[in-house]
Amino acid sequence: MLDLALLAKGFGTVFQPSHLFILVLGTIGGIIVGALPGLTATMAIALLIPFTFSMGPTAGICMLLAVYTAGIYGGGIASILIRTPGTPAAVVTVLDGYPMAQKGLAGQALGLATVGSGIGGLFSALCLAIFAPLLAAFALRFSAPEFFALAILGLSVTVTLTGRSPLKGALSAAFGLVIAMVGLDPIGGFPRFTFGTTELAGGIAFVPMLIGLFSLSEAFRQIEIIETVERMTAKIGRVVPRINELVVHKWTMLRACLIGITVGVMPSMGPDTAAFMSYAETKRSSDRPDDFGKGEPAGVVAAQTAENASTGGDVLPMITLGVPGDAATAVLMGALIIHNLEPGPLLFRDHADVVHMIFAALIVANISFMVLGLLGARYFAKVLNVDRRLLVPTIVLFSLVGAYALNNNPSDVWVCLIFGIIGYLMQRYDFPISPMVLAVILGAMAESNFRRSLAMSQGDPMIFLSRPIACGILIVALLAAFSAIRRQIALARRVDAAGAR
Amino acid sequence: MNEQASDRPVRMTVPDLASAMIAAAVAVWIVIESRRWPAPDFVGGPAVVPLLVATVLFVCAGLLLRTALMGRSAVVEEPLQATQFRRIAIMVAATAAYAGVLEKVGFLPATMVYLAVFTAVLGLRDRRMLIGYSVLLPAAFYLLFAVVLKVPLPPAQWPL
Repeated sequence: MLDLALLAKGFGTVFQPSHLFILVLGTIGGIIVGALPGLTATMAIALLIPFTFSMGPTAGICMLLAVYTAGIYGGGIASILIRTPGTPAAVVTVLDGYPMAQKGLAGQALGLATVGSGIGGLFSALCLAIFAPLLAAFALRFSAPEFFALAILGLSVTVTLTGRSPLKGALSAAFGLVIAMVGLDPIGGFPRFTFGTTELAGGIAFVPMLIGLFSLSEAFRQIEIIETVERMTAKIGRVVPRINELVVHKWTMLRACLIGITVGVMPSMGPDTAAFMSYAETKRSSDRPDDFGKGEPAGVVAAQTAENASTGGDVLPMITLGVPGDAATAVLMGALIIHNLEPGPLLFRDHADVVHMIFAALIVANISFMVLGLLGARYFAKVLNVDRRLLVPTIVLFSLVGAYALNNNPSDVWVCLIFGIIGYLMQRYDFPISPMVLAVILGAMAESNFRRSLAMSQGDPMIFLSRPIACGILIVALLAAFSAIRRQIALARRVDAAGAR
Repeated sequence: MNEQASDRPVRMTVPDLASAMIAAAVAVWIVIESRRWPAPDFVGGPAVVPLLVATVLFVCAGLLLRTALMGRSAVVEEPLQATQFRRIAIMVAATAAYAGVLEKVGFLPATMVYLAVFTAVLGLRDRRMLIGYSVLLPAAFYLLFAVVLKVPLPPAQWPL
């Protein structure tokens, strides 16, 4: 159950001036990164992990959660003003946000997007605070077979839902599993794939790898398109919405909140899917469906509210079970581990104070971006005109120095660079990166629990079928795998049909 | 004519073929490596999961190879133009050189030269802007992170 005394203590910690200052700084950084097309919340979190290391866990977590929530909201700013989504999730906001800006209603669109995102984020943070302790308490009954089954479910759903081609998703995940196996094996401590070196005995450095895959690769990608960046010319006007402008969207917001949190909990479904589903449902149930796509404010509210409403749902399985649902929460999980906080049910038992501080920080982070967004949207919009020839080298510098700073180790810079190149090639040739990152985390979890289970049963694999929860989860994983195969076959048919035309 | 052809999106046959080859090679390497590891008393030794992953890699490589050879690779991306390719190649090489000399030369001089090269390659021609950016950013970066926030950066060396 949610412990209100601990939550109050968590608020007390977050409201300490130094922590609040860091959180506001993270919010500003998150909005700016989110607003810049091509730069995502995931990338910002990966970049900041090494710099939060010296701040200590509380300040570090406050900053990263603020970047996460504000980064997702910030994507809508570019969608509205330059018709280019700041983050993948903000694609849907373009549909009605940009037509509103063309009609001279950019300020109204930004205001509705900000309040919608804020309310969605607050709703999902409260849901997380209420439901996470219950799920964690239930998960305390889990043993190695159940955790193995959860990891397999996470892997199969990731492959099924990420990217256009499940086959390429599977290959990406398989390479992630190979990366997870480098180093000492989790049970016997036998060195694997280390080439006899001691540097690789601890495995491939996870955070430099994340920085390379999400940040450096994106910088290389930006080099490719540096001349084609749109400039912002829209007049913004009044941003803070009137109460009656919000009241008319109350049911849209409620619907978007419910869709967002539900979608967020599902593995591999994040803010983008939530925004699409919420928009489609709002359009379907509207009296004026034909107005959508032509500057209908409800379209902006539906998309932005659902995006941020999915954040708490995304964090839920990561923090309670140690199973990240998408790339952003995988990176957040990496950050918690760096701060010696291993997500999972034991985190709730052993560090209940930290968990409640996380809930408090998430609530305050949502309020923070809502206030800063309403007061400063017109100023944040100006970053859209920043010269990319100065921005891209700054990102690269942050990436390389961040990779170095974590362990003061020059070889980590090479890890970052190598994975930067790999990530760039993967993006360019349509191999999704998320399955690889999730497989690195879930692969280690799957292997150690698989082998612990077999040790428990003296090598009898029936242990996975004789335990109802593990067996149930494995059946769902199998169904997800079948769905992936069907999607791949459908994709091949579509390509054939396109080739025949 | 060639110019027009290079602007069109192309099928990802070569990247898919290359990926399939790499996946198959990694799978073979896993099988060879895992044969040298100790066999356990019952199923579940250090080689079990690697061998399962090698199987997945083989299957994915085979399917991707088949897809590519049958011309079913999806159309997704426009080919890189010569300028873009040259720019990215220079930046990857410059970044590798920067990573190589960072500790030996020191953070400030290495970063100043690296940023000057980077911004010049990206097309910044305003000399004052270029020099100001390449000198002030590393200095500000060092002061903020190494001096104020105590983040361990590579040694500064000249000019501080």
